[in-house]
Amino acid sequence: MTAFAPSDEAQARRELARQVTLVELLDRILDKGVVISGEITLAVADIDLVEVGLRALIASVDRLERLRPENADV
Amino acid sequence: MLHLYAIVEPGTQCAGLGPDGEELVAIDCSGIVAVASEHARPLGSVPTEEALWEHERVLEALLEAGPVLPVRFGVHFADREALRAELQPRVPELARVLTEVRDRVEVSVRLLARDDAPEPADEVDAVGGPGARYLLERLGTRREAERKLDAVRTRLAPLAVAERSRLLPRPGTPATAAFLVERHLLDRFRREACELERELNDVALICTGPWPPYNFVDEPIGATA
Repeated sequence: MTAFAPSDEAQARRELARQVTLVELLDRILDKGVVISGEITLAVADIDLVEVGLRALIASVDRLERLRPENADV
Repeated sequence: MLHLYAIVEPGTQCAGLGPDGEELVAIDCSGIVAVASEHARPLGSVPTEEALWEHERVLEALLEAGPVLPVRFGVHFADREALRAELQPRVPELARVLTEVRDRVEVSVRLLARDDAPEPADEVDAVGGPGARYLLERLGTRREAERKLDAVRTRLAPLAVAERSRLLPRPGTPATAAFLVERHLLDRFRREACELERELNDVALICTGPWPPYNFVDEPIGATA
């Protein structure tokens, strides 16, 4: 699986793309695909992992933005 | 105990594709094949990041061998008979969808608001009280997200066989879309996404893929193309 970020902000975009890729994976692998009535034994109780992932992503975007002036490569 | 990964066509090579050298078993279901790993006792199926990527890596390896219908993480069957009993009535449907996703992959496009984007024009200050202003702001945010998603769909859907998109109730990540793309059009799709992002100065587009066709396996593809 690869992520391709269209713009040039290489370092920050790569990190952002990595995190988005994880969010996309969670969104798919836990919620999409063929729906088959097998036994599902996920140990996630009522935690919404996709929501957790998105919150982490948003927090990380903010963090990246704060770090941007201190990092010449970003 | 069988841990199910995917549905594939008969003859698909799956030897050596299991995680950590674990052998996958190909279970014939009269026209389709279920790919699984076999275990003496139930797996924990805790969806750690590593476990999810292992599942995904198996699917991606299968995707290189032929069309794949991905099964969500954590689906188990007690034995082959139980699995066959579940799949047997769905063989015609699943075989048809396998044909529809042949040589096609899923690409995701997620919209992210740019922190340096200009603030939207504040047209609601003079309207009503705080409650009305809040609702109007929400409405404005949603319309803006719809406008951005429309721009993405208008530009990229012509390069795809099918598309699924949805607005998200978050200003930072206003929308996401999945496109089913012919493999030979992937580079062109990427170039169009790059070009579109340059034109949309207030939103970033993060594309990921190619994914197995998670979003396109449970409904007739032709109905949404």
